[in-house]
Amino acid sequence: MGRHGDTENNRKLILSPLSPLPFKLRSKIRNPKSEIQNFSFFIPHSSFLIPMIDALRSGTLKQLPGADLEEEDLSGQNLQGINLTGARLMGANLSRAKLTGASLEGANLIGCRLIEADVRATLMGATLMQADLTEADLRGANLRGANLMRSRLTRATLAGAFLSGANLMGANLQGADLRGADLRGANLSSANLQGANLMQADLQGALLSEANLEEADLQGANLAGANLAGANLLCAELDNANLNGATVAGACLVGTNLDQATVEG
Amino acid sequence: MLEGSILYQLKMAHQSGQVGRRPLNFGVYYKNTLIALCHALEDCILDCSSQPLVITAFQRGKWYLQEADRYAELAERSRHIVIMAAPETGFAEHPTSQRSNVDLVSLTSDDPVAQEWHLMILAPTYSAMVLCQELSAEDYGGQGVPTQDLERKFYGFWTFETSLVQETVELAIAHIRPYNPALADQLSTQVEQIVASQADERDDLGVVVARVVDYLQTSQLSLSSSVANFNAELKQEILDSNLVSNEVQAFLRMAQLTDQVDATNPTTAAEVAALAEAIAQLLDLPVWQINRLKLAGLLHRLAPLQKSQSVLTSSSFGRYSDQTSSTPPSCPLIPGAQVLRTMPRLRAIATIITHQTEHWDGSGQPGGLAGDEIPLESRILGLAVDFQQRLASLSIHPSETSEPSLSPEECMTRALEDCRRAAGDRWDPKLVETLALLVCGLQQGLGLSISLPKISAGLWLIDSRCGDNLFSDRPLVEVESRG
Repeated sequence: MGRHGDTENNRKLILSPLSPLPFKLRSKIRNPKSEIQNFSFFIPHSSFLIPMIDALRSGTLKQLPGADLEEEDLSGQNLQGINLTGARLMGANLSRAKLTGASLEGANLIGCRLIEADVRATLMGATLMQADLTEADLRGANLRGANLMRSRLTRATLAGAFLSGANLMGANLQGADLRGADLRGANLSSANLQGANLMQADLQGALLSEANLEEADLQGANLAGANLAGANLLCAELDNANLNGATVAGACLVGTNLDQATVEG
Repeated sequence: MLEGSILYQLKMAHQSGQVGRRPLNFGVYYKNTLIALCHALEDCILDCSSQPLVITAFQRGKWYLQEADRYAELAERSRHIVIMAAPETGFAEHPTSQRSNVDLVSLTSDDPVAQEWHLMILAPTYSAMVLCQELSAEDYGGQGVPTQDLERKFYGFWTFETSLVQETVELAIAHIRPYNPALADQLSTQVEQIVASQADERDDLGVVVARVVDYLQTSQLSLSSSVANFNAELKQEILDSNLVSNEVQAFLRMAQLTDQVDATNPTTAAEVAALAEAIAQLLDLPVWQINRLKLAGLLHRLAPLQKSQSVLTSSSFGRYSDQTSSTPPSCPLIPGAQVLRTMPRLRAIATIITHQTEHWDGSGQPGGLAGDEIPLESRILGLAVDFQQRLASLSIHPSETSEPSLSPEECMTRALEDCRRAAGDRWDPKLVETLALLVCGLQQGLGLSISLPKISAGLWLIDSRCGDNLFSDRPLVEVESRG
């Protein structure tokens, strides 16, 4: 049965390879993060993971908080509504997977592949550094405070997504659909937003320094207090945009349509 | 933007508050894109059924000299050609420059037009224009001035719109006047003649667009073969994207023209796209399918089937199963959708548009498809188009009839009733119910954002699924034909 690690020097549990005990135990812990630091499952690959992934595939397994699924191939799987809070998914392949309504709060998705995946999910505070989200569906997704540094979001749909306080530094958002997205206070410095659709997006106080906004559509966007220093706005569309108090020092505004844009301060 | 440049003057004339003028929407163009684009539009002069006035700006005499032999041919078919450029050795001496209907305007070095790249073609049956200005060293900013000639960057726009071409030609003539008043007078007279003889029977724009796409694609091919010359593959990707972007733009600009000449329903494309997108959202279709549908909505007026049904005999249409087994089943060609097939990456879009006129009961055209045989996107598009047309005519026409004008809510209710009556024979009943749900939402204050996407960013409207074969599960071959 289960092998319990020593709890003396806070080095917690190494749980059984026999499923589904670890998950039962795990789900009983109300606030796992604060109570048990450095918690991790010890999951021998062959004996345990395969039945677990089978359960995932058949949709019978819905509770996997904190699961370790590093480098796993879960492409095309139906994972609707799954609870993967705080799960470790580094380098996993979730391309074309269906994660509608899933909870991935605080999950580690570094370098994860989510190409064309349906990620209309909760990803608050998740780490998606260098993840590949090309053409992914993130409509209305909750990505508040998520770390998306250098992630690839080319042509992704982020319409109505919540990205306030998210870190999108150096992310590739070429041609992404960000209509009406909440990007307040987000860090988009050096991000590539070429041809992105940011109509009606809320970019108040966002950091867009050195960002590439060439041919981006910012009609009706709220850029009040945003920092656009050194940004490339070549041929961007800023019709009816609000630029009150925005910093545009050193920004390229050639061919930019500022018709009816509000600029003060 | 350089003050006094033609692009600047035109932009100023189109700022908000200028009555009857839409603000201009600029895009980014690399030099190789401009070359392919201009060559295509120029070569259409050779097939043009009327003689155009051509006004160009070449920046420097040497760029004109590279094209001067081609321009001799163009001059044969043109009313008049004007070349504006800063003069360089051999500029005036070239035989083309000596022709009676070719005039050179030697721009002074401080003339802002010497930083511009223009091609204006105005004929009674054909009009096209490329209007661009090169980025200054300062404009390039952090990226630095490119070392490769082909990577030089311009901004501006291109169009087929006759009124805009005419307006720009007049600005150009005003710019020429201080240099050569006699020429300016002569050109003004020619513009008057051309405007007076604008023909209803225009040259086929589909042929022009197909040529534009073809030349841009050829340029893409030569780009990939010259990749060894570029040490950075990334740069090649950027240039390639710019070419693809303009291929999509060619279709969008062609579709846009249909809207612009339609006085009673000028925002059809944007409205149909928004309606189709909303229906798709309610059906919870995957996002790639929604995007595809949106693009089909923006381009749906390329297929003029609804208007030209009379020329199609019933025998030219039939079910695929009617075909003999020895030949692959095929679908009659729809000219407008056919032009889309010059771009394989838009195959799914062409199919969606082609089958928007099918009927749920199988009595429609062009394939006689029934029920779920009709691609879902075609069914949605057809319904969105019909609903939008009914809505537009209901909200415009009441003044012509004795009826009092209807509120927007009443218009929607009536248009929906009409669609409901045809549910089951013309329309997929499920979709009519989804439309009813949408109408219900709209009547309760749900807002649809109706806006045309930025045309110059057209590249980003196509994704990896736009080239899918929608009939891949059936042995259907749609006949490909290239003009």
